[in-house]
Amino acid sequence: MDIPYTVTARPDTGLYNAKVGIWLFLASEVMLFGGLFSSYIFLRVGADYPWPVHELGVTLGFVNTLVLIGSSVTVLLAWASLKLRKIAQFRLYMIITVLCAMTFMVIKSIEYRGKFAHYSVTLTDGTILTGHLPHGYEIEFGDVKALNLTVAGKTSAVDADPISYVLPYVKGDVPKFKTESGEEIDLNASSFALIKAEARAKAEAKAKADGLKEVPQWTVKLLPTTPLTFLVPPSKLLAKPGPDAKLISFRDGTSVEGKVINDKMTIEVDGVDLRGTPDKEKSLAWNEHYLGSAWKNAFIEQREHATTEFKEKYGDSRDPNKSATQQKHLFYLHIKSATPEAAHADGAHKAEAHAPAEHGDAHGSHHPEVQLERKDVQFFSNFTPKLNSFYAIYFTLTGLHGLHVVAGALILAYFVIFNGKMLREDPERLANRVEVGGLFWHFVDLVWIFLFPLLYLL
Amino acid sequence: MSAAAHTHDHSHDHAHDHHEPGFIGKYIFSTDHKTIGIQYAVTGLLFLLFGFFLMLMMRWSIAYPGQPVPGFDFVGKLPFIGTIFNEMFGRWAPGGVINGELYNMLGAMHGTIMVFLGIVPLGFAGFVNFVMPLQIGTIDMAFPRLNMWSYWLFFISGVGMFAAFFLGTGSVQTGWTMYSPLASTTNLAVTNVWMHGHTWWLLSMVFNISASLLGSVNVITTVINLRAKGMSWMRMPFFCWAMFIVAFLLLLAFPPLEVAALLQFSDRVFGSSFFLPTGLMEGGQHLDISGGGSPLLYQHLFWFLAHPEVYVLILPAFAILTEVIPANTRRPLWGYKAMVYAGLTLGFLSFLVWAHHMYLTGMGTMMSTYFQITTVLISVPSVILLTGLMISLYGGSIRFNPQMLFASAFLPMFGIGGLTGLPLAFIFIDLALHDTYYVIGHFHYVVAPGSIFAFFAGVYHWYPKATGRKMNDFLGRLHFWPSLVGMNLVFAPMFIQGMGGFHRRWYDGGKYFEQTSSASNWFTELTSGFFGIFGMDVPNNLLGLNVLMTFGAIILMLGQVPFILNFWLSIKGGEKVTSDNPWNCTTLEWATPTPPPHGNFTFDIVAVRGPYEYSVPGMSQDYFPQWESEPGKAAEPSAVPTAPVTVAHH
Repeated sequence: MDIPYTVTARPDTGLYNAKVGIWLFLASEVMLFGGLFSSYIFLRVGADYPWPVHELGVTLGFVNTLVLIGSSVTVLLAWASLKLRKIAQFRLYMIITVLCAMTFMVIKSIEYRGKFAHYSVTLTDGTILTGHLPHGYEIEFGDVKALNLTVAGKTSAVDADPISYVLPYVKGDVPKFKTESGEEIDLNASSFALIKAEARAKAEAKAKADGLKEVPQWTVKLLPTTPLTFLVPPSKLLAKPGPDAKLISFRDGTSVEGKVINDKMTIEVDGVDLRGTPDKEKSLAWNEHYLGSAWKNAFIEQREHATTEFKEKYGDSRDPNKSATQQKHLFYLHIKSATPEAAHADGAHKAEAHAPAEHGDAHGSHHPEVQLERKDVQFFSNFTPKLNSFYAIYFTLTGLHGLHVVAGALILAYFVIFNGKMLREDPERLANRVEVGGLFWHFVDLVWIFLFPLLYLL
Repeated sequence: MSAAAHTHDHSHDHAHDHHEPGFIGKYIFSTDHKTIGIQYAVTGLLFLLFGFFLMLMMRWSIAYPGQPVPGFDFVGKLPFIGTIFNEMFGRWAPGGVINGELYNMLGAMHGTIMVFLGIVPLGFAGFVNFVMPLQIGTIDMAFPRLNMWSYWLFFISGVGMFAAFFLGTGSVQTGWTMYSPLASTTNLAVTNVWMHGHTWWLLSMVFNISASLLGSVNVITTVINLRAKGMSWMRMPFFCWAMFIVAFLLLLAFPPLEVAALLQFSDRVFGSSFFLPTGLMEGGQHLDISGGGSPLLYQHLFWFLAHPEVYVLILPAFAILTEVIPANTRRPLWGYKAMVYAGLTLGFLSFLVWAHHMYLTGMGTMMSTYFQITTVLISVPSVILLTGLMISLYGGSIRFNPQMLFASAFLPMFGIGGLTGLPLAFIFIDLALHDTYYVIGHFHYVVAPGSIFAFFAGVYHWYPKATGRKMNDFLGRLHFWPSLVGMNLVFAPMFIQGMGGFHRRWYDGGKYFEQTSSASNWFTELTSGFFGIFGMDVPNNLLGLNVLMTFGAIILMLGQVPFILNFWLSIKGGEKVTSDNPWNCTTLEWATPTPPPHGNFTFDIVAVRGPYEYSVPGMSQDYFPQWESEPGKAAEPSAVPTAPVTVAHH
């Protein structure tokens, strides 16, 4: 009582079950990636900021394309070898396929890693500086007067968690605190539990006394008895504090009274993107205490050079405003050295030749270091989904594709490692499995064939 | 089950290598399509009940805002159940009074649970798994193990959705549609975004979508490759056709929703701006986001699924009725071929109408006009399906058992739901009615007294096949009549309120919107007068209808008690069936022993004729089963000339 057509094809459809199944599954996958590709088009067409073009390293992407195409060939050869019952060849080709998949993932992770370490800072006038933050970025908030811990009401999702959420950002030693009643404590798990229980009891008593329907949120004030300073990354805060902020709020609801001591951001600049700046020559980046006029002149020179070259090459036949590449040459300054003279000596040609930003290899000495005032910074992020919708869709598409590569490699590896018994007893069945797995693998390859030009070249 | 011994004998006659699975393999991690179907159906029914209770709480809050829900405190004080209940709802409803946050959770989860965890699992997965392999005459689904995975992935998604109520944040609060940017940015002030109700909703959806992917691949493959000898495409019961189409809708429409869920997940967890426009502010402050995304993109992705989903909800209902109605009118299904083609057209067109949910987004008049045209077009195949069922009644000698009662009530109820949808297809009317109770009334008429009535009919119809016993007829009637009355009392006044401008998301039922709610008409007059008889002071205006609807919901609740009793008690106490074909049907599932053993058929099944050969002139009996070459005699496999090759002779 076996299910029919698991190995042999049904005469009228000409297909065995798994083959029907995999094609249906692939149809569903086409809709999945189709939805993502459509989202890409929708986001790009509707983007109200200069869409990043040619920002990804083409070399690595191209190598990965070759690797995947190669693996598509070997998986086919593996299937053919198995059909001919050439077992050793089958194993060899299968192993090569899986190795290709692993190579692909290694290269992918190198690409990802470079992006995580590379930052982009948008200034308030729309200029974008890219580079590395040698010390990371933390706001120094000191002179702390008080710590307000929020004890959640009955329906609130936010509950003070100072021990694990706030204290890790204290600079130096954790000071002693005084409660409002004057009692001196060390803030730790057990003392906090007591404080919390007390606050809850008070809140409940108040709710009862006032006839409230809900137990209200309750705030406990702690006063540090020794100097206290926080060094905190802004992602841990609910809102960006301004330069004169007297209060910062952690995401757990704890707020701190004090003042901002230092919120400057140190960045080693490796690129200036002026596409979003209304007046390119008055950009904040050219301020004397930022990059200064020397770099501004280098930029103007590069722009003029690019204009002449474009004109020589195309005459009036092409509109430079319609060429994304030319726009990039006109408004993007790639910085490869600590001072503009060096760049100048090499000429703009060289800067252009290296135009695609290669994320990753960061060496402070090669780049001018700039201290940005927090008030000039509108938005900053490393090259992650947060940066803009291009990187968001880039990570979503390549991440999901990467998961498919991993899944496909695991399945193919399973066939060659664990299906020895089937190979001996029912090789035709295993050949069907390999065929189905191979179809999936071809699909994974095909998705990359679309992804590569879409993300790296267009 | 009592017929287990019987089952055992049959399977051993046929297959000697067959080994009987243990308890866990048989009832929990079963790969048998019938067990999986029953698992799906029972889980779906339980979720329908849970979703219904969420709705009852909402209806109370609408009719009596600020007043404690009766019984709320009592349940909260019960041991064990009370603790769970308080963690789920009690902490949001001090003293039993539902606050806005809880109302929003109830609304979002009512929609999600009814659509994704109730109707689809019951109507599609439950029935298709149990009935379809039997009807096409095969021993199981094409991929039994994937089928088991499908159920358990669905189960995980159900647990995830349910458990989200217990998180610190509670469950999602942004409507079942989860529109961004609201849904991308609400309640982000938590220390651990992974322990957020919204994150759980999104991840549960990913599990749900994977489950439906496995299920639909299985169904389509089974229909294409495992049909019995002689079961050509045009000999397939319409049930299988409809489910085949539904499986395609699930296969192709769900992935874009998965995309929407993944992108929204990225927005919430990784801080991206897929659906967040530049300059978005919340609470007077610019959010720390890059912006540059598109809220409209979310709606496109969402509705690309959610419109075909509407047909996923209704086609299984047609599927069931095309079996129940011919069986009880003793007449062939009218217009079988037309219905098949209408179903295929419907499936195709359902991918082209999604943006009629988005007339109000300002996507442009060209877009709106296009979707208005396709929307009007799709009403044609819908009407063909309904007309086919209506005309099937003509001239029949109808047997009004509970399943036929539900089936015959479906027709006018779905008719109301469908016809009230027509005005909504037109841009200019939709601008006024969008997001009002009119829309709620419209789609609830389609899915509640529509789909769910059909599913009840299906349960009564196939219950004897699954258990070997019939459900009680009297309790069935006691279930039907209050359900019919209750449904109409709940949903009919919604049209009046909607046209009066009642918005669908008011948690106080419009109490503080006197301008829109003070209108009165003959219906409100009648309502006020009716409750006046019992000494209740119900205002003579649109607000008074809230009381009527809540009253209807309570009747509906009471109406489900006989069903629940009937469903569980009949397993052991129902009247035993005397034949394998108690309703004298023609399709192949009635050729199996009762209940069908693992492996289903005891002889080589062959389909020799169409599926609806009732009242064939000149025959001694009024039905001619598909598997019989002459009355009472199963067709021999050799009777069909070329073994599995199925050529349609039409």
